[in-house]
Amino acid sequence: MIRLITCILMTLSLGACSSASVKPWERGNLAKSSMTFGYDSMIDSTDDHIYFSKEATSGGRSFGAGGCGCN
Amino acid sequence: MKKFLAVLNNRITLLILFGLLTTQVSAIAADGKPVDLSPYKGKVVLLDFWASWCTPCRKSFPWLNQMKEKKSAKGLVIIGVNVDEKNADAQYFLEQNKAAFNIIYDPKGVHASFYNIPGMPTSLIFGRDGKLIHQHSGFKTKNTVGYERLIDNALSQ
Amino acid sequence: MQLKNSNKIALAAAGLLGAVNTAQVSAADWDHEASVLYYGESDGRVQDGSIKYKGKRTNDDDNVLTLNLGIDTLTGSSPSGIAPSGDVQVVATPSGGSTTTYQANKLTLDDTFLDTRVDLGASWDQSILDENTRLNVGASLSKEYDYLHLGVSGGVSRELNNNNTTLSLGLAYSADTIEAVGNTPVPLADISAAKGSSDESKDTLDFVVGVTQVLSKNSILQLNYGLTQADGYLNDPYKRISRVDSSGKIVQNLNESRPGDRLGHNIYGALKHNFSDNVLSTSARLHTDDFGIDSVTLDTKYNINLGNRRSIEPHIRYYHQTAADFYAPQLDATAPIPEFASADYRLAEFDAYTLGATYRFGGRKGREWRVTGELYSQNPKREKLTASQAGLDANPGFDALLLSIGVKF
Repeated sequence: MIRLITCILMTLSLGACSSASVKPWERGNLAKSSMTFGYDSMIDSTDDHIYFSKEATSGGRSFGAGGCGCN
Repeated sequence: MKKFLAVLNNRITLLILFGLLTTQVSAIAADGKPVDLSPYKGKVVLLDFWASWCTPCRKSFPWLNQMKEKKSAKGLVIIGVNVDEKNADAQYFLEQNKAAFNIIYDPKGVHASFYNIPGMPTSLIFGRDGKLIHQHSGFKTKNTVGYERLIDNALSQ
Repeated sequence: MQLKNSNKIALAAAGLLGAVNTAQVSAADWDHEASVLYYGESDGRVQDGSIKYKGKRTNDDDNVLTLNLGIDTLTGSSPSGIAPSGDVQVVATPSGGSTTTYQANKLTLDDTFLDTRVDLGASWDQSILDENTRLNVGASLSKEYDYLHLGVSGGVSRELNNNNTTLSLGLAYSADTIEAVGNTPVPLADISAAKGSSDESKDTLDFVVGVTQVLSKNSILQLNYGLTQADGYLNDPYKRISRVDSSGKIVQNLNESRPGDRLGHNIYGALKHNFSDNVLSTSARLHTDDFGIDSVTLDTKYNINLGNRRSIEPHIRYYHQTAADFYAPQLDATAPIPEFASADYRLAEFDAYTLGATYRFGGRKGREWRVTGELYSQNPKREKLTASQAGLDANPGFDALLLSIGVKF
């Protein structure tokens, strides 16, 4: 049983390895503003403020991330 | 149940071997091809990997143009390697940011993966003997003095 | 009605760290953004107009200074919390200076309410240790007639796996002062009773931890966990709650009362996926707190590229919250007064829907313009009142329109 689980996990991890991380030169689509978290932070924070004033929940979003990953 | 597990084990072993094989195959295919520098034998070559979506590239182009103007007579060759998947994006960028140097296109990242570019943009400097002498990623104005010195050193060889 | 300042993870005052970097000053890039916004609710309720500005300066070392400034003007009326009744009601206004008359069989909206709010923020973001680790610090301030907010924040983020994974951590602290017009009402005292002190304080601590993970060339995921602890004066000094007898007659109006602390948790997940030219952004947030409020928020946007630097992005949002444990549209006059009670519609159980769209287009000199229109509808669960108040709704809900124009330059 343990062997079975180990084998499944190994196969899954190999699958993860071959799909790998996105290379620096492949980030064109991720660099699009619509694909970047926090790109429209002004309207986002205005929306959040309105919702927080009319509803009982706040928070959720955090920093911007993603993007072109340029150095 | 035991027989089922035994068969399953064999299948899983096959799957793992298959996975390993394909990973090796794709790894070989992913190694890519170098840029052919033979036309530039005896010259110092600066390969600059850039893309329309790379913000620091906007700043690097004026400096690259300046380097070409100042040093091509002394034997400096600058080649901009574009990695945009859509050529139209690259052309739009070139309309806004003129390049005085040659541009080659690498939309599938064949050259980028050969040199295993660690970030965008990346500049590779090859000496007159064709050997890689320097590599840097990113573009910061304060570092350009150092880059220029490196180029001058390579040109003086 | 107070405008509560959300705790932005903002960055610090420039003067602290922006020291002397004269050689590189000329190499700094400025990005500016400005917007105007109109928000208006149905039935003569709240209307808000605002102007906002954000400036971001990035220098050659990739240090980022962000400054923001906003001005809001609020008018209109807001539900008082007093129950609707078959009788005309004349009650003292929260400021105590005069009285308000509420018509029979109508929602009791308090219209003695006009305010201007100013908010300022500054933040600083730079790499520390190495190019993959960044630190941010910030300060914020907002002021309106009866409310002062002061806040500081800080956070770190780290890139891993060749910029495919970003881990981030943030902390924000707010010290707010509430100076209710006419002084702070005593919780659960009669609304015409003598008032208490002139100012109250509220402290809030926010903590966020999150990971952003690139899933593929076309997909990116963000997962955050957040915690908020608020302590101090959490009441709305202008909200009341009525004690109603079995014949539907309002026997007494009391000042509301909420607990002195509130602990909330939320988890948030967002996914962005690029489909050749269009981008789908979708997110879900779950919240729970010890006021007894549980909520779920689902938000989806689809950005359609129209070519030539133009795009249209429809937007849909669904929100549901359960009522606070101490929420009631009114109190039974024959029952003992509970320790905490509020008829504030924002603590009730409701569904809310947003439907809208944003149109973006490029202008001259690389400017990016944005026009947004949204419709918001809050639909509360109908709470039962007494038989004699049949046909009256203590919290009918409302619709609101939001219009905004913005430009990045």
